[in-house]
Amino acid sequence: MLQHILKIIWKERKTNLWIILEYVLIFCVLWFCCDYISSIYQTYKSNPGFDYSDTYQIKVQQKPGGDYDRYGIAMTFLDRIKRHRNVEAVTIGMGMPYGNYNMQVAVSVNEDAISYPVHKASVTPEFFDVFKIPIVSGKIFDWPYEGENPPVVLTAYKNDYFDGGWSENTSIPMSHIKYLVEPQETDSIVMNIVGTTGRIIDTYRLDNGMVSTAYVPLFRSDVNLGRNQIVVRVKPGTDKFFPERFREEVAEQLSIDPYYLASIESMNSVRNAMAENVGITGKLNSTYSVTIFLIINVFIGILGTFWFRVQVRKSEIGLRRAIGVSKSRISIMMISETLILLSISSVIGLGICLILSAGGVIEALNVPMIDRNVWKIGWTQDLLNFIVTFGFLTILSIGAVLYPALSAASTQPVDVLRSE
Amino acid sequence: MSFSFVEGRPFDKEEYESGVQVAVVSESMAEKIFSGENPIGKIIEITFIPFRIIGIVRDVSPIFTEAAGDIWVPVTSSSDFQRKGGIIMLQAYNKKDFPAIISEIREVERKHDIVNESSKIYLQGPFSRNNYVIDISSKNIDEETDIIRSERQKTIILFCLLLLVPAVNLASFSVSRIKKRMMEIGVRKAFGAKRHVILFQILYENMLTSLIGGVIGLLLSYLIIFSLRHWLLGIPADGTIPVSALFSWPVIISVFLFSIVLNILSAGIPAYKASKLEIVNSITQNDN
Repeated sequence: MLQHILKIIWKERKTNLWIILEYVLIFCVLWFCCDYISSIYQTYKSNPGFDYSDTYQIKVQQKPGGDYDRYGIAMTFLDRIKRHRNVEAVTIGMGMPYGNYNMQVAVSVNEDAISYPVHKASVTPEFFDVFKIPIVSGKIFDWPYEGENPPVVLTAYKNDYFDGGWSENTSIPMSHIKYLVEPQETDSIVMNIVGTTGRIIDTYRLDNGMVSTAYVPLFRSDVNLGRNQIVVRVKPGTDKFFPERFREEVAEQLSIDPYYLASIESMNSVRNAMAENVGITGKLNSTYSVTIFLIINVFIGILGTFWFRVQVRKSEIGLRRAIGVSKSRISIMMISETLILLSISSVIGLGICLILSAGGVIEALNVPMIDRNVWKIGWTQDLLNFIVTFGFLTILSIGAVLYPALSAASTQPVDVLRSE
Repeated sequence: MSFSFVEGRPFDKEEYESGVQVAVVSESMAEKIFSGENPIGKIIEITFIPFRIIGIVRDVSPIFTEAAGDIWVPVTSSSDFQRKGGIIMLQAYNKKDFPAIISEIREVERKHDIVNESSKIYLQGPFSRNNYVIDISSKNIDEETDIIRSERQKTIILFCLLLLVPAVNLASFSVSRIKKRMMEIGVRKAFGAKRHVILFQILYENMLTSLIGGVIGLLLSYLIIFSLRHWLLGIPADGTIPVSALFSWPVIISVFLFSIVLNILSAGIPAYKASKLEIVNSITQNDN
C-alpha cells in the first residue's frame, strides 16, 4: 500500500510540491518557536529553587536631606515591620531575586587557580527564611559580620555541583569546596563556605546565564533603606489585601526621617515586571502569536487543499468504492498521503533547522532564542524540538484532513460514476 | 508635543528659568487627588516638596511612552538637575533642518571645548514612533542610522517569511481550483471567449474575494488589537488606544495591496496557463 500511495503522491506532484513547501516552511518556524518556548520553560519558568509566594517587596525612598545613622534607622524600621501581626520574616540586602542589582565576580576555588563566575549577594540570615531556601549542608552565617573574610552560603549550579560556568567539564562537588578567593586590586578576599544550598535561579537577565550565588552577610556600611532590597514573608493564610492594609496601618510608624514607605508589591508582580522589562514576556507572547498564526494557516491549508482534491478525484474514489474498497481504507489512504508528505517535509525541515541554528542565522534575524552555550543546553533540545514539532503537525494534519477524508469515504459509488 | 489643556496653562519661560515649583497634572491624576475640586492653584507635595498646580491636561494613552505621564514639573525645579541625565527633545520646523541643527550643536560643543565623547549630544531623529520601539545604543549618528536600517531589514525579512505561509496556501488552493474549472474554461473558449477575457474574469473574481477577505481581516485585526491590547502591546489593562493611532492609511493600503497582489499571482498564473490550453484539451480534462 505504501508504494501505491507514493505513486499517487508522485502523480499529483505539482500540488504536492506546494504542500511540501508549506510544510517545510511551517516546520522550520514551529521548530524555532518550540525551541524558544521549551527553553524558557527550562530556565525562566522552571523551579527557581526558592519560594516567592506570600512574599512582598517593600520600597523605601529618601527625602532630600543631610546626615543620619543609616544602620540604626534601618534596624528600627525592620523591627517595626517584624512586629506587624501578619509578618513572618523580613530581610534586607542586595542581589536578592528579581532585584536590579546584579554583581558577578570571578572567584577561584580552594587552592586552584581556575576562575569561575559567581553571582555575589549580600543578605541577612533571615533571607533564607523569607524565601524558604533549605540549607543542604552546614549552616547560615551569623549577622552582623564585620571581619575581612566573610562567611558564605553557596548555591549549587546543578545537582550538588558547583559549576564550571566558563569551562567545559569542570564541575566541582559542593562538599569539596572549603573557600572561595575573590581577587581584588591589592589583595584578595577569602570567603569561607559555611553552608550550601540547592540550585537557585534568580537571573536578572537570561543571557547572563546560570551561575552559582555566593550569599555573604550584608555589611553594616552597606545598609541603606533607600538602596537595599527589603522583602517580607507574610504568615500563611494572609489575604491578598495585605499590601493596602499594611500601608495604612504601618506607614506612620515607618516614616522615620529621612525615609518613608514608598510602595509594597508582591514578589510575583515584581518578577512579572522584570520579565516584561527584560523582554521575556514580549518574546514569549510573540512566539505564541506566531504559533497560533501558523496553526490557523496549516489547518486551513491542509483542509482546503484536500477538500479540493477530493472534489477532483471523486470519480476515482467512486470507482474504488465500487470495486469494494472499504470506507476506512479510503480515509486511511488520504490520511497516509498527508502524513507521508509531512514526513518528507519534516526530514527536509530538520536539515534546514539544524543548519540554520548552527550558523547563527536565527539570532541575527532577531528571532527570540536562548543562548545555548550559557545555559548548557545540548542536542537533546534538538531531539525534543523535532518530536514536538513533528507530533504537533501530525495531530494538526490528521485533524485537518479528517473531514475531507471521511467525506471522500462516504461517497456513494453510483452518484459519482454518473456525475457530470 | 501637543497636549490638550483642559484648564490652566503650561509653565512659561520665567517660571522655567527660575525653577519655580509649579506642576501640570493629568486629568485622571487630578481626579484621584482632588476628586471633583478644582486643582488649579492648589499645592501638592511631590517627594515632600510643595508644588503649585497650574494646569491640567487630557490623559495621554500609555502607548505613547515618552509623552504619557501623570505630573509634569520644570526640570529646573530640582536643585541638582544639572548633575542628572535626561532626554532633550527638539521640534524642528522642517525635517530638512536637521543637518543644520546638528552642525550648530557641534559648533556650540567646539566653543565650550567639549571633547569628551560621552558629553557630546547626539541627535536622533527625525522621530516617528518606530524609532522608539527599537532598543539601540550607539556611539554616533551614522552607526545609529545603520543599526536602524538593519533592524528594519530584519523585521521585513521575518515578516516576508511568515507571510510566505499563507501565500503558499493560496497558491496550492488556486492550482487545485483551476484544475476543477478546466472544463468550464474550455467551453468558454469554444464559445469564442478570447484568452484575455477569461484571464480577466478569473482575476476579477479573485480580486473580489480578496477584497472581501481583506475587509473581514481588517475588522478582525482591530477587534484583536483592542481586546488583547495588554497582551500584545503591553498597555496596562485600563489604558486606551486612541482611534487615530489605529487608522493608518499607509498600513491599510499596503495590506490590501499585498492581498490583492498575492491573489493575482496565485490565481493569475494557473489561470493564464489554463487559458492557453487547446479547447479540446480543456474540455476532456474533467478529471484530474
